[in-house]
Amino acid sequence: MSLLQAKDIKKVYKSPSGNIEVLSRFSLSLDRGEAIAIMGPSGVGKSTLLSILGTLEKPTSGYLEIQGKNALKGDLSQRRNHLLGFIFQRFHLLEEFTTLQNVLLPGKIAGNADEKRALMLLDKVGLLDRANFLAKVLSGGEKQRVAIARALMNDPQILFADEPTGNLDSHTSSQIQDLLISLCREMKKSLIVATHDEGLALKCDRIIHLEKK
Amino acid sequence: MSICVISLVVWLTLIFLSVTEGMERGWLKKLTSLNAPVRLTPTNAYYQSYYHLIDQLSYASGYESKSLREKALAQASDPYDQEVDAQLPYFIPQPVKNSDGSVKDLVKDTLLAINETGSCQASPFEMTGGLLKLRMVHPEFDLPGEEQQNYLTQVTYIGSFPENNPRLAELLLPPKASEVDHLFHMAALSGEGIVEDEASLVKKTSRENFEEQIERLIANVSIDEITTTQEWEVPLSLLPEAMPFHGIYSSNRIELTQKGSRIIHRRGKSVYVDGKKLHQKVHLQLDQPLTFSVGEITYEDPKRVSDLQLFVRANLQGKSIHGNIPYQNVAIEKITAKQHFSKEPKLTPPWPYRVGKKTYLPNLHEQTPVVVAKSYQESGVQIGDLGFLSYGAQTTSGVQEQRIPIAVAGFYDPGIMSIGNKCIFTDSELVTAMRTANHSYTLDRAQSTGIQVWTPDLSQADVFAETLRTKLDAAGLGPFWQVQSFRQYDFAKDLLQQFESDKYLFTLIGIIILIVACTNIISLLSLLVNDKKEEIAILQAMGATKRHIAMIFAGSGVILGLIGSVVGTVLAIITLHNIDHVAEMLSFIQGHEAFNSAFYGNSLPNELSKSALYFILISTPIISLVAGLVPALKACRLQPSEVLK
Repeated sequence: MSLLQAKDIKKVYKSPSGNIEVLSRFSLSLDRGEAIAIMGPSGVGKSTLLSILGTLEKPTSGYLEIQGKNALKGDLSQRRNHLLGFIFQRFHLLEEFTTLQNVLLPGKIAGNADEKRALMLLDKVGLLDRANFLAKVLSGGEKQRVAIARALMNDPQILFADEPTGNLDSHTSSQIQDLLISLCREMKKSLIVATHDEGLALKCDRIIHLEKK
Repeated sequence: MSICVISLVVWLTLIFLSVTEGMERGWLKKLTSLNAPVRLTPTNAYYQSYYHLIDQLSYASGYESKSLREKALAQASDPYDQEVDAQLPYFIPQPVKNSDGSVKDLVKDTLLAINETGSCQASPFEMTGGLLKLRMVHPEFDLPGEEQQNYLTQVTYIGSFPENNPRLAELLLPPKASEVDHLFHMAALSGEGIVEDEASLVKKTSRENFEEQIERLIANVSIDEITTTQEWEVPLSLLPEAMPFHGIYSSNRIELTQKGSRIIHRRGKSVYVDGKKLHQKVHLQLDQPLTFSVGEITYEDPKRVSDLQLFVRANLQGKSIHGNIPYQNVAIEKITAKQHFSKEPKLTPPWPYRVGKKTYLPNLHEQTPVVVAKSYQESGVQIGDLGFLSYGAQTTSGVQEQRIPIAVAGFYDPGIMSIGNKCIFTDSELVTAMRTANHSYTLDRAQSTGIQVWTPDLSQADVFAETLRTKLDAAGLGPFWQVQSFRQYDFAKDLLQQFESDKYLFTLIGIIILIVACTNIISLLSLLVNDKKEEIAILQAMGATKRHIAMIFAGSGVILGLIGSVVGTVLAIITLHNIDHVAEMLSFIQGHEAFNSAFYGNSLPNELSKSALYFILISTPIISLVAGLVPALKACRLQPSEVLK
């Protein structure tokens, strides 16, 4: 049985100049430990798709199932907290908090702030020595490493990454890509990544191309 | 910012409510100090009862109807005696009887019922009217030994002195130093001729009488300080032997002054100026008044006040002087008067005094003592002033004026009594006599007599009145009495209602400005939500529920409100503690007195009202929570996907 299943996902945005259909009849099945890259030109709806699959946004119609349960109803927050991890293009760390506190955040929300695990994850992303630095003083690459550690904090099943290297230079970018892929492989996490970067896409098991109608 | 606004509003509301409540409390206290919190007035049923009418037909009662007070003291409940008295006319109703067949005593049984209802003080009161004429005698400074007389005439209400009133002592003003001075001077004068129409020369009293009054004064007042007047001459004996003083010398007068270039000293009974002995008699005077502390007062066979010797002590030109001086050309400056006694003193003071729980009028022998409202002081009336009360009494040959010699024994603060300043209090027996005989001033008989009941606590008055009503009804006394608590008094009703509605109005205004202040929280937190959009979205993406997010913002609202209330409360307490300075400042800014003392009392109330505090501490968090909910809802409606792109 697949870990995540999406059927006929459709998303229509209402705007004054008429409805804009971003996604139509999108279907996907994701297996445990599988890495999928979603590619396509800008504005095709990669981020929207990722938000919908990550339950941050609801589709106009369609069906989404995670771990065999309907993911459009019920306690979405808790499911997000336990099963899903997010990595964003612009990192979105809490700038006024330390690296460690940022990594601990999902644990705190879940009511289980396991500091040992947070330090272990920081070690894995190579930032153990930065544990007590404020997030705002870190470099872009370091911030994204913290974001990866944070996404893994509650031991989720699926990681969602939206252009994880879009804001980084090419050298750092490939370092982060390797880190992300290797961690997912090592910890047996599924990964859905929206990207423009062919290199990153090629490191995944499957590539889905979205095209404009 | 929000905290500032909220604390400002909290401060303002607390002060407003506290001052209003304090004023209400003050007025209530004044209102119920003189007019007891609970009052029983006889109804028409009482006046038409056998019990009331029978006195006019009984020899034992002297064929005169009795007042409530006399009824309370009367030996028999039914004075009618078939053997002595004439047969009763047909219109006299049947007496109300007890189960044993005896006549029910409407007054004594009621007093008993009152005492059984709870701990309280009860006594009958009476009120009548009359003409008060006071003669004010003041020493004539231009003509030593002569007195100036002024007259004050006023129609007044005359009430029975409520000696059982537990709060009376607070209403009576303590004698002032100048009044004690006046009493010393008045001791030498006789009240003879006071009731005559013609103004006559003030006569001196007998030596025995004078000495007795002086003894009485000295026993009850300790004079602490006296000040010399312009005319005062330094007795030579007061200057220490051979001690040099600076002074000015001209013909037969020496003025002791620091600025003087001459050196004055005494040797034996002679005065020396710059070492030269003076042979003629000189007047030794001071350039400015000197204040002496006073020790013992001695006298021997005194005929006038100046025969009293005061042992005094003072500093003159930096040198200590002491000795005896006569009570002449000096004014009493500071006194301590005795007013409270644990047991009846041998020599009672000439002003009202308290023994245990009772307050007594002084015994003045020749005159009846009266206590007048403090406003009389403004007309120059002082304790010890003499005069008479005049009323028309029915006699066989028509209405004849009766004059009762009186003396002012003290002053009281009438508070907000409707008849306020026009009421004097005197001996109950005199009031009864005047009420019975008086035909020139008729008052509503139902209102002008009754039984006053002082409950220990004002808040119990309503409950007490209700219980008493039930008790009287049960005892069959209900129809004869109208029981009222102070809230139902005619003259108090409107005022108390006004206070009540003022309080509601202020509370309403308080709530409105609190709401306005708390909307400030809405704008502040809305800005914060906008500012923290990203963080909110991150938290939501990480799995924070909407409730988490909402609680953060609603919680901040409550915390802002709470901090504001605490700061405001502390400020209010500080302000109330210094309210007099605040009032002074306001008066200074306005250029006239900001708070009229007739209305607000001598000083503004400075106690923090508990109910206002509860009101603030409950309403502010609630209002700020509601205010915090608006941005909180906005925050949790945020779509994380829109922010996190």
